[in-house]
Amino acid sequence: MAPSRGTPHAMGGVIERISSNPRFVLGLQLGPLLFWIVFFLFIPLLLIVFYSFCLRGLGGTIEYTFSLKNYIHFFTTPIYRKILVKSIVIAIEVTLGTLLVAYIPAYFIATTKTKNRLLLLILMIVPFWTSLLIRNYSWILILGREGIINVYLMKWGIISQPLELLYTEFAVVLGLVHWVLPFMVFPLFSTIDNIDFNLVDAAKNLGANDLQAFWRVTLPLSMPGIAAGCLLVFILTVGSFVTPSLLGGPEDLMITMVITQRFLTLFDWPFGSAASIIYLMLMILFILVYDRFIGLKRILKM
Amino acid sequence: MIDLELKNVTKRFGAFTAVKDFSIAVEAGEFVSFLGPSGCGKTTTLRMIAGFLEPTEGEIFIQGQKVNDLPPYHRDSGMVFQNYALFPHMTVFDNIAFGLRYRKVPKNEIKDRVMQMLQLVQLPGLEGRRPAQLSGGQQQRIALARALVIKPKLLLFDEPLSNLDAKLREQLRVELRQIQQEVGITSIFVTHDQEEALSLSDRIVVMNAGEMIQSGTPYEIYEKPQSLFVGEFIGQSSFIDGRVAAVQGTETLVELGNGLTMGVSGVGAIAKGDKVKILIRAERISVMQDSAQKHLEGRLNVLKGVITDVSYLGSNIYYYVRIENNAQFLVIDQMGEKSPLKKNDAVCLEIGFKSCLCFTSKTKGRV
Repeated sequence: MAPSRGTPHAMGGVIERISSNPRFVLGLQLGPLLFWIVFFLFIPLLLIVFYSFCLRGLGGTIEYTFSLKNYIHFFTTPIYRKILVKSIVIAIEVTLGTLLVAYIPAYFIATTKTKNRLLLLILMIVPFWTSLLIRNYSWILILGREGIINVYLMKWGIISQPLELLYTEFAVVLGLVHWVLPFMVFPLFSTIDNIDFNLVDAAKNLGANDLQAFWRVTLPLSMPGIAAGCLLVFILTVGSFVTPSLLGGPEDLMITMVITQRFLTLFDWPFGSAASIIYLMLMILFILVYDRFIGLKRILKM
Repeated sequence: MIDLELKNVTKRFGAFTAVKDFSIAVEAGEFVSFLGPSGCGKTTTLRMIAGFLEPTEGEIFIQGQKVNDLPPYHRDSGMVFQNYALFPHMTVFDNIAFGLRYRKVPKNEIKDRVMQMLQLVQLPGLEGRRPAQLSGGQQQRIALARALVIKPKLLLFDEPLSNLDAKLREQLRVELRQIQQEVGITSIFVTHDQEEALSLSDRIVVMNAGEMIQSGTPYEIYEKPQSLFVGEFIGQSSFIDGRVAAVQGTETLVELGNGLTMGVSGVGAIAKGDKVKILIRAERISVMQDSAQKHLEGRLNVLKGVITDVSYLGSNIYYYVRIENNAQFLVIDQMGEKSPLKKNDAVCLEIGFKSCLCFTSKTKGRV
């Protein structure tokens, strides 16, 4: 930096002095990010934490007292625990279902010899171009009592009564799988694409048949993609709201629906906040456990 | 006994013929190399033997059994890949034991055989490591152990040494040959490296454009190439065009133009006036300072020239010499205790009759 000393241009000198201050440069680089995190994440979150210890007053007002009542109420009321468990069960079902459904196209696109792999990948995202609402409504048209499945099954005489497909857990899982599919396909694709298929040949050469080679070589080597995809899908699904409300029945309540109902219908912000915080803690706990057993580092390296 | 036989094997990919009418019979215990430039069909042939590809036409027999319809996992061949292909998610032990688990070998025997193999490839004590923790040479030795432990009928090598650095390659080459001899296993070795093929093989099959060009011992391939392609592909040589001036007994006189004449050995279907190409191995030419060799002047197969370039390689030295009719010669000389010649030195090249291989320009076959 020595040559810049004593330059005749004062402006140049100022910029020089500022930019040679490492703290200032760091501040410039991190500033926007910090601002974003503080104002859009940290402060709203603190507000929610704050509300969760208050109580609901008359007519939807908030009583500013410190109380654990909301949390105690959540954990002592069986229905909330049931809903929480249900949310997780649905999320697990969706994750496993998506894994099964996504692995096939991901494997196909990664191993196909055609040149249009990019096109095939883009086709996987096409459903994203329509809104989630429309995609869910189309499932209603397909699964409903008067939907095409029931109409044709009855027309062909396979069933005499329409099947109860819509407003069931099955419909919720189906709709959610449809929604999160690309989130699973992409990490799977990128991992499978990086597998050295000489390894599969080596396995076959050593005596493993196609299925055994897949089980002992291809599948274990797809693990990073499976882990990343499952994490993404699970978190997205537990927090899903639109699909379970549209396609689910009264039994298929998820935690997000409780939170929405408390905030928007019952004007019980303190309890809604407490439910949100419980949900958030659960997700953090889940990620910590996931990291402990599977390792987020391995996923982030992808 | 014949361990491997290919009968008129052809492989086509759409309109492209990768391997054309390839036939070979390999004796038990024999080490055969497929040598050729990239894209010559040698790897395709190997993959057909392993069962990864199906021949379009022809038959493959392993120890007398026709294997055309047998999947790779029933062929009992051990393959060693160019990039080692060790399973990265398994330990060295599990890598070597992989094939044994599909052969219903009891657990304690698996352990014994894996340890025995590690001993054979001189890497005992590494069974707990992961492939990523090993050097390239170690990885390839483990890959060899993994292929050998299943006691395969055939050992197949797909350019196994080409990812290693020069020194290690040479060392591993020697080890590989020793192990192969020790185990006595029939081996097919695919390579584009002539030195590897020459030093390892009992027999070399030279391939080009999907066809077998010549098959023979390393000595035959080097000393008696049957075609210009083989002569050109193997060894360092110079080529010179000429026309047959006379055929006298076992020797042929060739006119090189500019009044130069060379004598070459060999009698064949050749007549006066035929166009020929003479191949001269670079290390068979003796090079001398011109001024010191007055007595050689005017003799047959002594050519005068000027050194246009010198590259010094330590143990030997390459001279690029332009002779009187402007043809370029490469001469490889052993350094010994001589002081090297310099650029622009006038030199005499002396070439023995037997070191001049003559090919007809028409058929590219040797005279």
